[in-house]
Amino acid sequence: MHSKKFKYQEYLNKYQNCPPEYYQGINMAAYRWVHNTTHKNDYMPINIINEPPQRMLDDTDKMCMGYGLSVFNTQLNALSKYESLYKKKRKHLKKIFIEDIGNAVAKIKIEREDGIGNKPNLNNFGHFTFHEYENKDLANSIVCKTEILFDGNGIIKR
Amino acid sequence: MELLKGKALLDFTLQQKLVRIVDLINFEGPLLSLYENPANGHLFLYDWIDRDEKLNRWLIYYCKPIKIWEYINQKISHYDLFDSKTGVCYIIDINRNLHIDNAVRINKETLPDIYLPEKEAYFESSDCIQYDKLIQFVKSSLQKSENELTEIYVTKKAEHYFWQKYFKPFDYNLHNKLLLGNYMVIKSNLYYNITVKRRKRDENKIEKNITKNINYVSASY
Repeated sequence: MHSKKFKYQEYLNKYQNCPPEYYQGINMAAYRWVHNTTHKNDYMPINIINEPPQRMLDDTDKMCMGYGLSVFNTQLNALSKYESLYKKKRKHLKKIFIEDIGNAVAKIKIEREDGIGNKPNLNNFGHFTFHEYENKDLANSIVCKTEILFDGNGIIKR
Repeated sequence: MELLKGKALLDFTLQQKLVRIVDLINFEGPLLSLYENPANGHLFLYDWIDRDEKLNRWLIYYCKPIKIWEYINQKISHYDLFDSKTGVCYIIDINRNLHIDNAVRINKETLPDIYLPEKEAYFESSDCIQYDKLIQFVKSSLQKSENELTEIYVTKKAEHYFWQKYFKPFDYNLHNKLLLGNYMVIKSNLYYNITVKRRKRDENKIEKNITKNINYVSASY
């Protein structure tokens, strides 16, 4: 059982072992997809976002990790996963993807007192989930933002 | 979202028959999910294709296990998996409370082009949270489907022999009842005696087995 209170504790209480015991305090730079211009959903966990409606098929999609934030261990990994998902989408879904997920990668300085996360998944571009503690906001820890650029055909420029 | 030309369904009953197995693509929620009808082993894919401010739209289509196997082994693309040429598919709109607001049955060829999957979209294992489960499940579905194919193969063989031996020289109306009786005996014998492995090992044995069965039935008349 984690001793500190989390930002979305009232929701986490509905799950057993949420966040899981093995999640730990982190002291590192992490990278998150955001919008280039400030957007209300940029630092909101997926389960908290009301609009657009969450992509779910049944109740099992409302998982504990949905109350955490998706981040990556390197900027290259953040960009590579973005590209991997983006390139496979139908044309109109590419637009929706940019609308929903954003068009930039933010570098965030995460410290132990900000919250806890799991280890980066090296089989999934170093993705990990980060649960913020109560009264913490990763939006205040941004170091810089890098815009993701697309060419005329909607392909990501490297 | 696109207007759809299809048959509106008051109740999408297929959904109640299906069990969700695993997501082939998932990032902060499902993008392509595999379902099974446990009653007959048929597989369906739920493919996220659109959304507005209230609804998420899903394209649902039947898919053979072999196609899914080829897709996860990157032999075919998402586009090939859908196979847009023939058959029907379904589109459902799900609201934030997980209720189906609209359901439509639609011929694949009349599906709006923008909803067709990308031709160059290939599977990546990093998109699948339960990759091992996916592989295990599809392998087992392939095995079941191969057994079904063997049944069909054997049945077709039996039909062919019957046609050659009895059916062709005589008038159908005089013999159809008799043949049906024979056919059922052969079918049940073959189901128990012939397995996929055996077919692979020695096809000639099966030919003999069919002939033997036909002779046996024939002798009893």
